[in-house]
Amino acid sequence: MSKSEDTESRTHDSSHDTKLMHIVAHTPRGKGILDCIQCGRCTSSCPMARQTSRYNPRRLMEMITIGLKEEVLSNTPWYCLSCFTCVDKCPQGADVGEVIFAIRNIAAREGHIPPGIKAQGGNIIDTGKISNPTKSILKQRQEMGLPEIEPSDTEELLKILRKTGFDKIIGHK
Amino acid sequence: MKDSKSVLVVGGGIAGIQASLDAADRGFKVYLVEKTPSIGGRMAQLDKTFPTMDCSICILAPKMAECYRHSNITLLTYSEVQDAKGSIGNFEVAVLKKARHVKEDKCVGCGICTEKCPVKVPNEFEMGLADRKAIYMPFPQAVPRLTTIDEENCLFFQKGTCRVCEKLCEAGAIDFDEKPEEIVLNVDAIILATGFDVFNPKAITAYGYGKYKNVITAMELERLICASGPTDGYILRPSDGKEPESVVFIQCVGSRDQRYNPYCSSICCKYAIKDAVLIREHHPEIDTYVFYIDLRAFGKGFQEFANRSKEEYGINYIRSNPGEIREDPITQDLTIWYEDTLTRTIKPLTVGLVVLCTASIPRPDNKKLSELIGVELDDLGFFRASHDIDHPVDLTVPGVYGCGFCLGPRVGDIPHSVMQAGAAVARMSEELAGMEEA
Ligand SMILES: Cc1cc2nc3c(=O)[nH]c(=O)nc-3n(C[C@H](O)[C@H](O)[C@H](O)COP(=O)(O)OP(=O)(O)OC[C@H]3O[C@@H](n4cnc5c(N)ncnc54)[C@H](O)[C@@H]3O)c2cc1C
Ligand code: SF4
Ligand code: SF4
Ligand code: SF4
Ligand code: SF4
Repeated sequence: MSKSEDTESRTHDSSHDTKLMHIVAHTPRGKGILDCIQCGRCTSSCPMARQTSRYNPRRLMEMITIGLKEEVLSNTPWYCLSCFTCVDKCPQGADVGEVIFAIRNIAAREGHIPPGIKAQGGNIIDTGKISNPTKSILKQRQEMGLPEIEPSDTEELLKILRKTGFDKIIGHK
Repeated sequence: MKDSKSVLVVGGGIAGIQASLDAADRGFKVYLVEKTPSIGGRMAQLDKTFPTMDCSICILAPKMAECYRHSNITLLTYSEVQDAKGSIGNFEVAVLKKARHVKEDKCVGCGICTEKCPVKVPNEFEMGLADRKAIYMPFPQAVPRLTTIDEENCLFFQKGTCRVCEKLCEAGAIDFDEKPEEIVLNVDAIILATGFDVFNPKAITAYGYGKYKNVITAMELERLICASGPTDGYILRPSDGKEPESVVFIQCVGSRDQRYNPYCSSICCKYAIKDAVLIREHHPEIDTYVFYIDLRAFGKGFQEFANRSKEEYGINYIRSNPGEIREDPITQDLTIWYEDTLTRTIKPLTVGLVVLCTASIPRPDNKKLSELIGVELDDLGFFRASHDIDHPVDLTVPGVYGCGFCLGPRVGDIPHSVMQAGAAVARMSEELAGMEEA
């Protein structure tokens, strides 16, 4: 078969963390990494992969396997929509969608949550919503005669978020 | 070897045929039991065969005829094993000969009955791509060369009317009163050669088999590409009878898939290469793509064949397992979304015909035979060898042997089925001779 573009990224040098795959496999929801045969069916079906070339779940599994830790813990896993199409399609039960949760957890533990995601977390704490309507949307609603948006009741939610340390993980003040 | 030794062979595909011929040539009295009206099995349905690209039926037909003629072989077609007891050197087997309603000694195979029979049903041999009649010869080279009435579809058996075939048959071969017959055989040994079934890809709904007319299986393609098949060897789409501009093969459909069959079926990469080459030979203008996970072209000369298929025949190989197929409802063309895993590009490809290379799976017959004879099945439903390394063709009851695909996807091709047939006969002779000395 034709030679892969990135043969050099497959050779082992100091930038490869050979333990990464085992760490992922032992993280809750991460054991599917051991079953991937790199067939590409997940990426062929993934709705996000069709939108942006920056996201490719098969490649993510490959990067975990060859230990490209920096790339794995970058913005990449946060593109996943958690639609689980890949889990449904994978012939090996490698559960990519689940593995992505595992690597997001590792990323969070190691302080690699992208700022945009942190901001969304902050929104949840502050308002109970992941994102809030912009001024122009509020104006449009008014023009269309739609009711005002009620603030969410966040009391119970806040208890959970504090107990689990969510606010600290995302650095919320 | 005394000429009184006898063996029952179950299954008349290439493996069972070869085992029968080898045993008969060694002086065994052979009873070859085949459940369908003719011997031949899957090999009879194939067009050309890898690795030599010989015409399949041209190699098989002389062997089938030899089985019919050989003085040591009794063919029991349209028959099934009903009961079995005893042990090595002394098995007692009951075989049910179903009623064909056509007398073997009278039918001359002229086919007038078939021509005039008013009932049409899907033709199994042609994988449903053509029809046959209620009285039929399964395929032109069938052995034995006579017709069979299929009671389930015949107007006489269902409604008491018609009898057209009886009126027209000049040989007087039609016999509506024939009853099934039970035959009891005493044999020294048993060889099982029940072969394989083809996985039904309807289960994988994203590929649309059964819904999209232009998604077919490789077994169906074998008939389409065969000069004596329903399209005289032209590649024509089921939806509109037109030649497609491009054809895609998808590998590992239902194989290497934990939800269906976890194993590699061992033959589909090789037959896909073969069929892709045949398409280009018949129609050089058709673009041909093979979507594979790993191209398992193992065995003598196969990697070279795969390379030639690229270089000389221009077959496009894409390392990807596509996620879904969508049909354009107007053109009935098919769009496949895939990631080329070598270049990491994600894109759609629109083609006229898709061929699914489906898994080879155990026949349900294995279960019944295992219960009757006492031999074990493996976890997949194929016959278990008594020892996979030491005794790969001995089954778990002494005096019972296996050959061909019913042993599972070891190397499930024709040359290996033939080798295993020879091995099974050799092991049988050895063990029976050992008993005599003891
Ligand atoms: C699409 C396709 C293309 C292929 N192309 C090639 C190729 O080019 N070259 C190659 O080497 N191989 C090829 N193969 C593989 C080849 O078909 C097999 O190797 C071969 O058919 C195996 O022979 P067999 O006798 O074991 O099984 P089968 O051919 O399946 O024969 C088994 C026989 O047993 C009979 N039977 C089953 N159960 C019973 C029962 N209970 N009682 C009585 N009879 C029974 C069946 O009716 C059948 O006649 C191809 C396979 C496929 C699917
Ligand atoms: S995760 Fe599953 S579908 Fe994706 S490449 Fe690996 S084996 Fe294939
Ligand atoms: S769960 Fe994530 S990786 Fe899987 S298909 Fe959906 S978006 Fe793609
Ligand atoms: S009697 Fe049955 S088999 Fe004979 S011609 Fe009529 S339908 Fe066909
Ligand atoms: S032989 Fe090829 S197509 Fe068939 S299961 Fe094995 S790898 Fe897949």
